Amino acid sequence: MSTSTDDASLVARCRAGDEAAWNLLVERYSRYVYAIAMRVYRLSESDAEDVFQEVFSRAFQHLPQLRDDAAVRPWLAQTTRRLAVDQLRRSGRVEPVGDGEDLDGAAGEPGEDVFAQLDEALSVREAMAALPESCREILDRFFARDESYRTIAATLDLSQVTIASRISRCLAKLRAELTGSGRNRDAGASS
Amino acid sequence: MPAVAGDTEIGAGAVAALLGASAAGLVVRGARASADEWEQAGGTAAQAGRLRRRLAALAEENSSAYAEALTVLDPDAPAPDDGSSRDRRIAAALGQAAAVLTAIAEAAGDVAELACEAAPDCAAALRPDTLSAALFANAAAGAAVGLIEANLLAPSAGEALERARAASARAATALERTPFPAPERGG
Repeated sequence: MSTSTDDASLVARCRAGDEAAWNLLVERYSRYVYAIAMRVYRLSESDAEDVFQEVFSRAFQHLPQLRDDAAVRPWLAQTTRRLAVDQLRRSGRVEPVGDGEDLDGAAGEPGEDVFAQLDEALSVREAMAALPESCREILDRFFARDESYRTIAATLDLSQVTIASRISRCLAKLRAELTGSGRNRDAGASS
Repeated sequence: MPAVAGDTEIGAGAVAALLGASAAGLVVRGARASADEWEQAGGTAAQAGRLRRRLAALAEENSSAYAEALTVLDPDAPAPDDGSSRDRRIAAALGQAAAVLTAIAEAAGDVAELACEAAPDCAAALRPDTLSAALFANAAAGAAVGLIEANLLAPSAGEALERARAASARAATALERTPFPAPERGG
């Protein structure tokens, strides 16, 4: 998978005024932005909506000045973080709300591992999207829905004895996608 | 597990789930140790890891379901506020307890199958551990079935029992296909 390369071409198309590319960029990163705003900073849905609107408004304005087109994701993350903190300050809160069980940074600033988890989740989601439908389905059923081998076999009309092997092969494909995206992202960041 | 071993209050269903989780942990270990020599080691470790977490969570769920079943079965328990009949509450509680035990049987059965599939390919040094995992998981699935049969024959438990029995039977079949290797005799 070459998400960063895709991001770079997507940003280039956005810069050229391609509306479909802009819609794709927003679609690709909307959940990511919402996840940072709501899960990390525990903003309310309406506050997160405000942050979302402002993030993409700024993205639209600043895309021409982006130095590395492949680095749009960290740019969006950083912008979302700044705007979420601003939103917290405006609402009178100085630190993320909630039980804070997954927030291990200093008061008011979540730990970097939270963002790393979100990045990883986004990478997995992108890599999953690049897999064949059969792989997406079997991985989703086993890892997300916690279905048993028997249930998966019965639902997908497959032999049960092949399910574990199929899952392993699909995981190998997922790993290949993720490894490819990791290489490209690193290359993009250093350019 | 040391904490579980010293806990005299934990129920058999939770022990079955934790036994299955521990067996899954053995499969994870065997697969990880085989990464250099077995192409599907990573995928097997990931699946076993997921089953381990699933079974650990089911141990907690079983304890809650068991406690609820004991509560509603207590003849001195006060009548519920919502006006539901005692019989209906008992049926619901037993049905839920059976569902959790069925999930334990199915997940443990999957661990047994995965262990049997992994054993021939994993590192030789950990093959006995992986086969032991299959035995433990098979026992966990069988125990879950036995608990449903003995304690939870609510009207709604029929299908659950069939699924649990099927899972246990699959685990046993997998074990028959993959017996412990005969010890090598020195010449």
